[in-house]
Amino acid sequence: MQWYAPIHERFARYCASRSLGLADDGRDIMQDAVLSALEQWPAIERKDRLLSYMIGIVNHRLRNRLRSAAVHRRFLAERQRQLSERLPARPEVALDLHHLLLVIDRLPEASRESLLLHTVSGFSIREVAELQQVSEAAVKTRISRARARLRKYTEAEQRLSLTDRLHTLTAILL
Amino acid sequence: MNRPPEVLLPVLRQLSHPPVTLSEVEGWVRQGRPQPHTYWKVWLRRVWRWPLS
Repeated sequence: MQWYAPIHERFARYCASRSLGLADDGRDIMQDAVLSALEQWPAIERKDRLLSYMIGIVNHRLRNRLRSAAVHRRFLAERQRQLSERLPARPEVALDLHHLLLVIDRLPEASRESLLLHTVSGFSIREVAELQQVSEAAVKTRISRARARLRKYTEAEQRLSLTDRLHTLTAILL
Repeated sequence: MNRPPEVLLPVLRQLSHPPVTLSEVEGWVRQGRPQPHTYWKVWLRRVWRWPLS
């Protein structure tokens, strides 16, 4: 476990951010990733690639779990409910976060991974570059493109009519 | 969305609490994967939150 202890919190944060909306907060997916990494331990030649191996498993399991449209719809509804529950005093922020996560879901996988690993998990640009096996410049580009895309959607959302926003807010509160 | 991503991403970080502690992960490693005969218990706990030991 020596290899895992220093990265536990940051890896767990990544799992939590990706699994927001799952009933078990992503414990199941995280357990699967850790145990699979251990099972493969003798066969993995480069032990320094273990974290990226585990992140790959998390992405893969989540994709499989949300493959069905009905399950995906339930996941989105549950995510919105969990956000409102965790931010009871700030329903507007919960709503904004819900929209932000919808946009993050639509980002290309590499950009989404870079953005979440850096801004949510807290990995440095250099660490993300090592994880994704690309240059630091490529990671910076991915993150800045992801942020630009998020900003673009934010501006588009702000152009929505007041009625639309009130309607969504009422739906959450009731 | 009224707030810019620069404001919302730190909130997302705050909300993304690690779902388990390091000692829990160590427990998983000691225990390994659930044995097939205990799968139904795992399923009950997850789906029904059944208070099984």
